Amino acid sequence: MRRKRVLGWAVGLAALAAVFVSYLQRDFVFSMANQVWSCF
Amino acid sequence: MSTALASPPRLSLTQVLVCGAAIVTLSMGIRHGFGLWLQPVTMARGWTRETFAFALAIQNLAWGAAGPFAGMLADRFGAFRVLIAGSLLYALGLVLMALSTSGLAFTGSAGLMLGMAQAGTTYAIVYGVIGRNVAPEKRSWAMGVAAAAGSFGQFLMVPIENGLIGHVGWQNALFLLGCAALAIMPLGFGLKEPGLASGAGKPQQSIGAALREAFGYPSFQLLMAGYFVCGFQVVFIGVHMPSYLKDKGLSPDVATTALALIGLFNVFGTYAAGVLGQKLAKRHILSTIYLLRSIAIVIFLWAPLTPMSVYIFSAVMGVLWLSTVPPTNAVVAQIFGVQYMSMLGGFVFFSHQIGSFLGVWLGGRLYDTTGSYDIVWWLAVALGVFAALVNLPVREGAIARAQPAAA
Repeated sequence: MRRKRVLGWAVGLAALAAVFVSYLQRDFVFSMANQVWSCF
Repeated sequence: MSTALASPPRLSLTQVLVCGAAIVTLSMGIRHGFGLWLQPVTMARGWTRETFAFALAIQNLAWGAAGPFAGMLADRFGAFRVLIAGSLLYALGLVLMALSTSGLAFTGSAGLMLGMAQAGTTYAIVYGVIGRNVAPEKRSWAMGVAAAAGSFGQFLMVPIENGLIGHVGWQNALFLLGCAALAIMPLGFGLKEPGLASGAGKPQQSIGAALREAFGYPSFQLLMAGYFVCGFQVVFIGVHMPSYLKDKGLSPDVATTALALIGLFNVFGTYAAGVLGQKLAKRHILSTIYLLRSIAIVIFLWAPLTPMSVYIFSAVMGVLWLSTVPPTNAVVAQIFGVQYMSMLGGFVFFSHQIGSFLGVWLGGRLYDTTGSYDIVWWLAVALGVFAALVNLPVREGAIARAQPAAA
């Protein structure tokens, strides 16, 4: 049970970290920034 | 508690959480990146930004306005029916959004249809199932899990949608998202409540009586007032902060990293609020969240503006972002019971959406008038203090109801 819970948290945190890293890629950041800012 | 579960829990906790979390991950995630379509759609169709922005404003209002009705149907006829209809409407709306060639058609599809689809597939509907099937001692936690899933969906889908637009084009990206929206349908079957589906459970209270009771109860009005502020602050910051940072001379990657940090910490904040809701008075949690938002904004405005101050502010606001969702809905269940939870949650959310609309509109309007966001920032601070105060007198106990006379 404890092992399952630790595994669940580990998978969750890894997924969050992976998504966060995708935000930090320079190409993506600039492409998204340009599109988000073009809303204003 | 007089308003406890009308019948014993019918769906397993795991089933409710897995299906509910997956549904809100999809429904909240798909909609969150719609801003990314502004440039390709307006360029391809030769529209102005106003055409696109108007459709998204209608979407937000339709989401709020249709929420109580979707909730009413879910409470009366079963959430899974509303989820299936919502899933189909979501998919159809996305396909028509891709195919619309006039501003009116775009407003009807991307605005009205998708707004109504969101009303049928997001928190209020799933929370009704959680409320009816999860025991009160785990309900706030379960709502925190579902809210965290929605937050994760928002965080996850923006880079995915951006990648889809880049790789397959904006139209095909919408078709693929339409297919993803259809996945809500089988998940909706996982939330099929046998009693509601067959119409076996006779309602103990009519819809009209439930509405009269809720709107005549001061604590419900206070919760609605607080949630209005939540919508105002969150959407104002989410929409206008990038241009605020741009005005202050910060580079574009500061703004996007700030939005990423809000998304990341939002996941932790919503989950933590659900967990805390099991241990602390929910009105105190809500009051603290609103007060901390105001304090964070004041410090942000007074401190020297650097990338680091933006990141710290974003992380703090991320923790406080949708963390109001689990305690607000859990209080509604606590006071009024779970029979009309989706409907009442829908009304509270409508108030949130009016706040959201005003946050976006007033932010832009006052910026155009004064050339600065200062007034709106301070309005957000004042509203936060107001929300902190109005949540304090909320009575969390179950409402006292007269027992029906024996026939």
